[in-house]
Amino acid sequence: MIRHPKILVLEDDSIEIKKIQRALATLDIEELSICKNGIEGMNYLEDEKEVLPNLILLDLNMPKMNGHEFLEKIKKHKQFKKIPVLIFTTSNSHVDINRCYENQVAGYMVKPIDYSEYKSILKVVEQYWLRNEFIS
Amino acid sequence: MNILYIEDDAMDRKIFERASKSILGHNWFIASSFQEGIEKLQHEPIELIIIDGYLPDGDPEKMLDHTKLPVIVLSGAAYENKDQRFKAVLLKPIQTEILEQTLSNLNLNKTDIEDQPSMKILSDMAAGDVEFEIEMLTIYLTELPNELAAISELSNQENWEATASLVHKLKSKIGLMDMPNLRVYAQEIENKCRQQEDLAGIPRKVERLIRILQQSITFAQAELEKRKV
Repeated sequence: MIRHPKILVLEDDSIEIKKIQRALATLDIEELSICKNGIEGMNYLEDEKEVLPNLILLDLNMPKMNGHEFLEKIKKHKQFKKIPVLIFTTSNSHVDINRCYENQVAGYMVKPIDYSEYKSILKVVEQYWLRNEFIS
Repeated sequence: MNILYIEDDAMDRKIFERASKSILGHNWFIASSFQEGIEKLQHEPIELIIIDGYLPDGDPEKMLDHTKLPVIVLSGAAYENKDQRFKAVLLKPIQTEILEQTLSNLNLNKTDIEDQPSMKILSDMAAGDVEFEIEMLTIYLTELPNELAAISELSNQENWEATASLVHKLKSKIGLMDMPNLRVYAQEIENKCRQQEDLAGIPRKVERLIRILQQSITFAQAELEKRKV
């Protein structure tokens, strides 16, 4: 069955949040939750009232618990480690890229300045995951 | 400097690679079509473009519509530089001395980070939704002054790790106001802070970044006023 993935976005920057909400809304993605740091993200995943997301879109530079720490934490968790994590960041540092793939991310995308390019990246993401089967 | 060369002809690319190889202090990126060049611009921190005068899928004029970065034309025949919109027009086959001289004459590092802010990106995003523009400009104006004050303080305290994090955060705002060269500059500051390099020079660079962004605050205020009427 084809259905839009339920996405959890971890992003702390208010302008980036607006941008991502706006871009995803044009792609008919309705099931979108946003957490502003790794701690909020963990609380969200652990909250039994919430259905687990099919996909996590993760920024790296966040306060409290950053993207790397969050990633390392969920990859040690019996259930959460099965959720594919896609990095969406402004950092193209090799250190970051390396560390993320070591922690088994499903992809690593760098945010472009240009908005139409930004949208097309998210569209590719959506199109790809639309054709995937998910655990739940 | 990160320099992108766009050339469809394989032999010309070879000649260029040979000529540029011995010029130190630059990272060279090569694209074999206009389209590939555009993709490179999206993904690499390019600071200068050198482009063939006659590409099948786009010409230097079209490149100026895509970017605010400085552009040099490298052409097999005379190429008109109307209104001096290109930083230089060079003739093939390119020679090391000429390329090196042209690059050092440009003095790009000193001037070209002073991007003028524009509403292009935000307008693309809003697609006519004025409420959205107002909302984004308001966030910009509410957050940026505090962030700049905090960065100034942290860099004076020589707290490089925290300075790097905050400068990193500025990049989404710099992007929103369509200032690509300034974004490269911010990235450079962030990298230097993280790698603890040239630390003595950082506060001065940070002050410069702040000064340019303060001008963008005036711009954003004016744009906000226009929309509230």
